[in-house]
Amino acid sequence: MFGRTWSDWRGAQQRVPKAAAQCQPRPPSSDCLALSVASICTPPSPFSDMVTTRTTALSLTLLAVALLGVEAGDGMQVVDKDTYASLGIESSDDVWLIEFYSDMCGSCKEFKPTFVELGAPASRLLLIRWAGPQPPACWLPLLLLALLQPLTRVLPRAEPQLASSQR
Amino acid sequence: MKAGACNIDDEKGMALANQLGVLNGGIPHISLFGAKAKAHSTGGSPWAEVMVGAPQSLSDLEATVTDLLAKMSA
Repeated sequence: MFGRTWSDWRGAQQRVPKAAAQCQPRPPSSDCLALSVASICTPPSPFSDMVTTRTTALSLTLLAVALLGVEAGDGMQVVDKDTYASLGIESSDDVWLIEFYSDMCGSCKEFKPTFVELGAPASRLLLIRWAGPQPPACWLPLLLLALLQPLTRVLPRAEPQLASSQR
Repeated sequence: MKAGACNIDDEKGMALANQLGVLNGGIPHISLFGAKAKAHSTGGSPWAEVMVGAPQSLSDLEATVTDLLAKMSA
């Protein structure tokens, strides 16, 4: 997946035996913060920049999807007792067109395309909604970090620990 | 105008339908909700009824919704 096989990875660690032992808590930085969230401890190695960047981006993307449950729909807002209250529909300045239906109702199934077409001007934009629990505020900087991380790797990072071990 | 759908097979969906009392006329039920709809409705219900029970054609529904919106804006 990352362009290197596991044997390449293990071989690199064996060529630099101290590398694994040097996997210690580093000072707080954007890398350490992101990696701690993804529960990944990547030892410094010749491939660490490449692997860390890709692994972190992939892990945080999967983490965000798993925890936040991002779900795309056809543009219809799912309305129930909770969303009716949280969206303030009853006192809203906007007019809401809402259909009450059942999946077990034959006429409801036949009518669904008509309602989707009726509501289409109101829901032309695809809605992305949280299907999971309400995310705590501390996740937002981490998600922002995951998005911005590829932009922070324009230049290769220096490896002072690796250089000292080769002397 | 915003659009939404409430599935009464879902527990919270049914709870909302019962809370509003929209199931008396059968499903599918379509109504307009919001502050304007509440002010426009009669009988103290928070919605303005568009269609109850018997499905209608798209053109009929558009005419009904347009008429209701015009009355709400008046």
